[in-house]
Amino acid sequence: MKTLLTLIFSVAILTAAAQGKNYEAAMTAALEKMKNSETVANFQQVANTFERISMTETKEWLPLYYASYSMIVISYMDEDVDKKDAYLDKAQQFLDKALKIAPDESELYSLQAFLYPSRITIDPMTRGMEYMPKMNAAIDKAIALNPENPRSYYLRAVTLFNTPEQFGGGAKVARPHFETAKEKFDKFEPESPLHPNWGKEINEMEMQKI
Amino acid sequence: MKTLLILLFQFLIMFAHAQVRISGVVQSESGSPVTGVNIFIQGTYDGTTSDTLGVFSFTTDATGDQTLIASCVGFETYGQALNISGDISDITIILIEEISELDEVIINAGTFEASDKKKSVVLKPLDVALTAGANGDIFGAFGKLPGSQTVGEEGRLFVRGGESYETKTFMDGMLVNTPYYSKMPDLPTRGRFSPILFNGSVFSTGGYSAEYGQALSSIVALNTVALEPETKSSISFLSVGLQGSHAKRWENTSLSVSGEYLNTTLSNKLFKQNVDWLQEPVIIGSTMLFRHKTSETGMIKSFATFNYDTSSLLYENIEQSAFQKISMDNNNLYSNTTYNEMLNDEWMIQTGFAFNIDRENMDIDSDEIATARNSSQLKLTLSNYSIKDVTTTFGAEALIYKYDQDINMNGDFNLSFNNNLFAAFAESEWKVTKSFALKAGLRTEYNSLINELNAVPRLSAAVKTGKSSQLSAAYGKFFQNPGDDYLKFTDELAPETSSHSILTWQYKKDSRTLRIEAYNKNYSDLVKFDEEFSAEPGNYNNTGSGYSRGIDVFWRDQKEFGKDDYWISYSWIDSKRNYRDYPMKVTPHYVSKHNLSVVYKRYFTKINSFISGSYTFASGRPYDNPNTPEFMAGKTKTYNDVSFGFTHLFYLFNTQTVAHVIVNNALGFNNVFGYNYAQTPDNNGVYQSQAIVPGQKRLIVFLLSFQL
Repeated sequence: MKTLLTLIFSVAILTAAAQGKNYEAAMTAALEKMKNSETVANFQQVANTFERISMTETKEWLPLYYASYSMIVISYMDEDVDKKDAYLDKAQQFLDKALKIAPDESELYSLQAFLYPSRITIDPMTRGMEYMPKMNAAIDKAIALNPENPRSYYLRAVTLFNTPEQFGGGAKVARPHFETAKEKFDKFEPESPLHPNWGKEINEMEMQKI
Repeated sequence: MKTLLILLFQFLIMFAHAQVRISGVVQSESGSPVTGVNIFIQGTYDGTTSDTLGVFSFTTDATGDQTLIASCVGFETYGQALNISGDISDITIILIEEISELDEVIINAGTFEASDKKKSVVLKPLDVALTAGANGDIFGAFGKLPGSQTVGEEGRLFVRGGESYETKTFMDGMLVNTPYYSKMPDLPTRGRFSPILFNGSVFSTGGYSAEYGQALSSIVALNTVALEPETKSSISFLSVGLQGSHAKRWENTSLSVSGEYLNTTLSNKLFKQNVDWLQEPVIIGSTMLFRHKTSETGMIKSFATFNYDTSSLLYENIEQSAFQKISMDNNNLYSNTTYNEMLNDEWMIQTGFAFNIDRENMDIDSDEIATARNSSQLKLTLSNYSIKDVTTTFGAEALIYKYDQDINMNGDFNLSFNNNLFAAFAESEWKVTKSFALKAGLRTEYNSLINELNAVPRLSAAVKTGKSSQLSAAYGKFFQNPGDDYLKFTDELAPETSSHSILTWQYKKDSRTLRIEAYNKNYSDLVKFDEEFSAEPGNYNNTGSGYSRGIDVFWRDQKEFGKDDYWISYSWIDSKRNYRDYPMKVTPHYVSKHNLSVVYKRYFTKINSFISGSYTFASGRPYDNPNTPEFMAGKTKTYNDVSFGFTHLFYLFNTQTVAHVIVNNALGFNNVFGYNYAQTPDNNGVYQSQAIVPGQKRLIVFLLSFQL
């Protein structure tokens, strides 16, 4: 009897540990691949990997976050205007699923703010009016949920930097936001190695341009 | 020790799984490889991405009955049962292309749609707002599309040989009974609604859905914006007045209010008027929009607008060889509230209530005419999606209309009538295949005033003729009650009827669209009379008839943002009718055989400016010269107009600012819309005439708008 109990108990623990290890290992490997991705095909591969993980780990928002992130990156890279919306629809699907799992996660709202500008580039004249306010609302929400999330400040800075001066953008207006972002990046410690930790380098690259 | 052994044993079990390899290839229906496909065993991490040749290969620990999934953007997700006991190779997965909106067959005979959301459309809402020569008027912009006639002294839409009353306007599915401001003789009016209220619109020049009735020729269906994106205010200074708006946004609710005061006194001083104004036109208006999102799919929209317009002028009435003082004022209140929601996966409800109160006072010298038009409408529509590829819509509506006119003209007269209209419709659209769709509908109406019950069919279909082209056809029968000016005298009339047959070929590839449409429209039961404004009921009958046939061509090349964008629209029409007091079948005075519009737009990124220009041409219009024996045999000279719009975006006093200038008839063409003739000949036996010309030769309007 005791043996049987031990058996059942240890099987349960081992399975859980193996799965946990499996998740972490799979995520770590995929993140490593994402870091080295350069082409649409690379990002498509990692997006697929994260999507596969997300379908098994239905309680984790991180796989969905990275699947969505990869699709957004693809949308910025692909030149084919007609395809961009399809990528972004997919990215939004992942993001919506993630928000159901973690509705108060600041990083997800930052990611939303990363997605909207890509929609705008497809048709600035008609879409700017619709998505700019949405993007600002997403950043505000991201900051409210976690004021230490540096990506919110970076995204605000880079958007202002790319907005013509006539519309309240430009280098001068963007500078303090880049600086806040830098401060926050310097202090930022991700919750775990799997949590979002991108943007520091690009923030500094963009600052050079000012 | 025993325990340790067990543990060891378990480790062995866990890691002794034999890994198997699954491989194969992914192809599209046409046999070409699909790259980037996510292929995996459901419920595991095991999977891979197909390479550029569509080839995939991965290993898995899973055994037994499993499901292999293949998913890719642009394709339907594929699932296959797989019994894994060893390596599996040579799996061929055929992915079915998702019908993207661009490639989908769309029933579009007779229809021009403007939308931000749909890519299949040829117009954007901004096209409507920023078309040069349209003066920011929705109807003005649709007037630059094929099928509409240039009728400069009206300002209303005249579609395919039809009169302006044959076009009906709907907002969020609800009827707008009085969409135009009041109108002075020989001077154009314009629409009451600002184009920025709408994020989508449909202009149908024929063959429209069974949802719409009481329109012989055309419908304009406008969809108001959803939630306001953010809290904001704006104030605009125009050379013709002031406008202001404020919008407030909450989480799921928004409210916006706007007001305007328009006065053309200053503008009329700057641009010489062909009109002898006694009081310059003044418009005071206000609008309210309330939106509340009830769920992911549910929305309550409430809209209300009130406006007042007034003007007075000295009119040279050559028919009666007299100068008349004509004063007009109009109060108009329109409101609608609609509610839409998906009740479940299969049913969607759309319901609404609308009312319109319109009071118009027209004084001609000492004669007074006061007209009240009140209407209210209740409508319910249910759409069902339970059968795959089939959408079925059922609807019913009630429209209560009261007309009351007091005339003080050598005595007091009252002309009034009430009509209650009840209608029901059902329509079903079936996407038989990816490249073939059918739509059939039936509409039935009952009119209390003229005791008439009728039912009419609406049919349409579309078939893809290639990857980028399609053929679409529509047939429909349409009823419309005789106008107020007849029904107020007699209820012994039947509805006027028309039938439309339309064939459309559309080619759309990348930025280019070409549309060619041929149509044939027959009119019958048109109202005829012997003498205008005779109160004798026996004077009116339904013996009129007519036809319109023609070809409409539309070409648009819309390059990406910041590049050239232009469209050319051309209409050829042959239309004749015998109605009103016409002695014979002739081409009516509002029809020109050839209409051409060229509209150009471009955003210049470097100077943050939007420039638009348009050229409009219409061949001569018929008019009746009583000095000649033939009826309606005169022909005006051709109509030409070149208009410009310039919009500059900049920052002024730390505020986002828009400067907007429109120039109408920049080249100063002397256009003539027709001629009015004296009723009686002068001493030499000649009927004197007077040309109907625009209110001013050139018009420039300035606008400076601040976003606060």
